Amino acid sequence: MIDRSYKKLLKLNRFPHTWCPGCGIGAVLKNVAIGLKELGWNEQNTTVVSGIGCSGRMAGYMNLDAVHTPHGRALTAAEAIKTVRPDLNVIVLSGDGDLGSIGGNHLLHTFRRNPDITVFCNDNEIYGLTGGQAGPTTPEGTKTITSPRGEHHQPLRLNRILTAKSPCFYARTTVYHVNHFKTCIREALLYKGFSFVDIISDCIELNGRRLGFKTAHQMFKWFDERFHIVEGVRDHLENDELGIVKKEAEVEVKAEAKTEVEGKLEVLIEGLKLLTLEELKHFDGTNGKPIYIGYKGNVYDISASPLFQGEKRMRCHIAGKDLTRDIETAPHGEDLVYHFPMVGRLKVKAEAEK
Amino acid sequence: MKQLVSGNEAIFQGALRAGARYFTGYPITPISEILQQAATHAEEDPEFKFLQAEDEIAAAIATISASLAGAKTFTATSGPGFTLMQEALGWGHAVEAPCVFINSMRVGPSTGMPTQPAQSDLLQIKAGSAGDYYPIAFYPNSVEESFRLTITAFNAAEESLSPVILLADAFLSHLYEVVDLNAIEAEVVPRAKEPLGRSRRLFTGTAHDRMGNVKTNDPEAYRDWLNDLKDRHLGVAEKYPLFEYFPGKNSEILLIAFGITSRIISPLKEQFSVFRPIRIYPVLEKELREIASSYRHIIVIEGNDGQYASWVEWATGRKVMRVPCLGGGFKLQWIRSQIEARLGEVR
Amino acid sequence: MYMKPRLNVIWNEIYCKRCIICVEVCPVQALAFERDEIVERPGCIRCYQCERYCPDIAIEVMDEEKR
Ligand SMILES: Cc1ncc(C[n+]2csc(CCOP(=O)(O)OP(=O)(O)O)c2C)c(N)n1
Ligand code: SF4
Repeated sequence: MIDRSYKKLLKLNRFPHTWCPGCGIGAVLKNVAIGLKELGWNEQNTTVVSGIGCSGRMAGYMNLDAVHTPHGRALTAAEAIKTVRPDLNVIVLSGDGDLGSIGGNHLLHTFRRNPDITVFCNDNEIYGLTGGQAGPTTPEGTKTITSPRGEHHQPLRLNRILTAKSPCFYARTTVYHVNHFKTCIREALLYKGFSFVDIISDCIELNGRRLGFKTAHQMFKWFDERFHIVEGVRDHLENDELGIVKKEAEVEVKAEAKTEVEGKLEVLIEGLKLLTLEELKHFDGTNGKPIYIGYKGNVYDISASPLFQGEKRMRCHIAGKDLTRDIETAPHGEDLVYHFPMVGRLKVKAEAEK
Repeated sequence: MKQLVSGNEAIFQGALRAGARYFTGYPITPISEILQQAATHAEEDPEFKFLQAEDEIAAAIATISASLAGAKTFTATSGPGFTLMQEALGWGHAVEAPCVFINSMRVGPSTGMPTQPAQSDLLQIKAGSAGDYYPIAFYPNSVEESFRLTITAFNAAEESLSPVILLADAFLSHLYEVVDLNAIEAEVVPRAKEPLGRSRRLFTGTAHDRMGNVKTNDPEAYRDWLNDLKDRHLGVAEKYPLFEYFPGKNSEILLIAFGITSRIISPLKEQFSVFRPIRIYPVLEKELREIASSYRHIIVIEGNDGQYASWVEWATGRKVMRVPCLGGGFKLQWIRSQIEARLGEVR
Repeated sequence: MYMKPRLNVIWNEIYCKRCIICVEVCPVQALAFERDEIVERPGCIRCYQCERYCPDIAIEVMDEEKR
């Protein structure tokens, strides 16, 4: 049975929401709610901040204390809230124009100060609310109402800017690659520090139609053509790559600093779930569940793999299995598995019986 | 213990006394010292947080957001920065966030004369942000009063649930006087507004009804909400009808001055009657009308080209004479000669 | 009643904005858009793609027990 408890995090009495048919913002809202629910975040410990724009309306649909700032100021507000209330989880839901253009200075400096907030940027490569003008992320050459002969300038490369220093967390995904999207959301929420998820999304009504797409799904296919997923944790992303960039702080290896890192790791391992082989089978990617595999006593989440995206995920026949033997004999070796986040340990039979 | 204290220090200490836990700002003459004190204080007191913002837009937004999160907050700037803060000021009124904005005025427009005092941001209190809002603003004229009024400003903010403005000027910020701040007693209004992370409210600058539901097409709900806000703000302002009035002997002439100008013209108290508004906005309408009624001539002496004078004309329905002290030129001699000249014109 | 049960899915008429993403993501073409309604033809393999992609929370695959 699929878990639909995330709906408690949405103000369903205000549904249907304000966005156009097929607009990607609805998918962002829903998947973020699912991500929050999985981690048990709720109105007692979470605050959501938005800017202005179609995307900025997201905060109003979250069943949490929400702050809807003036255009571009979401990051500043989020950082201030986190500063005086470190006990709160602070997330930002906003648009590319809001965060990258009018809020551009705040983006640079919030990134620099690295507060522990998570930003979900609905990157539809256009100014939606105001009618489809070219925005900071509009690709060069794209025709919009303010670039009738094609946009003259290069877009803001958030993948370059937001990975220019360490520590950093930047992920790019799309509303089409749902598994990857969900993995990015969870990783970003769990990351301690400034994490930014750049979600390529569709503004079908004011951008897609002009580009010649008839339905949102056609735009999804276009995303699939333009971008491909790269696995594992990277230190940078090319302009056509989807994936996660995570860099640790460049600390001088002092004795002190070392123990800190070790301490952190331990907590991580303690937090891992213990799964039996039976339970592992459950995570086969169906019903919106993540795809887990077992390997050498550990459980890895391979949902983000490009092999299992979109309609292809149905054909995932290795999910929910212990693959130790298969991988040992496979040509690509075990490195491939280590790219994926480890989420649990396998319970061996004897232990399970205890 | 009596100490030599500057206006900026008094403001900062006043804020601490009022319970401020968060300060953010961007360096600008003449309030950079407040930034410096806040930064130092934050190193000593882990309960107190400081952020040197990337610009005044961020500073103002952070002040309001941190206030919503549950802390008493304040920020400080001068004219050019106050211009950038206007956006947040309107937002602060819409989301009903109690906090304090300090604007120590210098000569404008734009960068103007960075080190010269002025009083030319009065209209900016009220008219810089979009839409209708009803700010409360105070303006002290001494170091001790800066301390007291900072606390008053925080109290008024908690009561009105809005950003309250404390005006100062470059002169006052850097004025040193001997005071014993610890001996000053002041009442502090505690925070009553529920902080973030308790319920499911939406704080938005988009038009909304009293419950916080977005209503972008409902004049009735908007009117109800705005009238509530107005009543509350004017009600709180009425609690603080602060002014000073020195009736001179047999004088037919009323001088109106505030802030540093009122200090400079204090020798003229022998010769003329003097009225000093302390609550600059909302304008002390009733008080001005009453007091002005016993005088033949009213002269407003201020560090701008007639901003308060126009408010006095509006409040009293009478023409007033103006002595604009522009470009940082506040000289008693010159002011006296200007008063004579104005009176010469009507005699 | 705006929750309209089909064979395997429940369709929420009010939340739905007729973007037909569900129709297009269905790998076996079990859903269709006819006379302003989402209808279901036989053949659903219960892959949950429609529910996962719907931006409006307007379509849900019924839980097996209820069937
Ligand atoms: C100060 C200010 N300038 C301009 C606007 C008008 N405005 C509203 S939304 C918007 C663009 C939002 O674009 P984006 O963040 O990309 O969100 P989208 O609508 O595309 O989701 C603009 C320019 C405004 N509300 N405030
Ligand atoms: S205008 Fe574009 S971004 Fe805005 S709701 Fe419509 S499709 Fe979405």
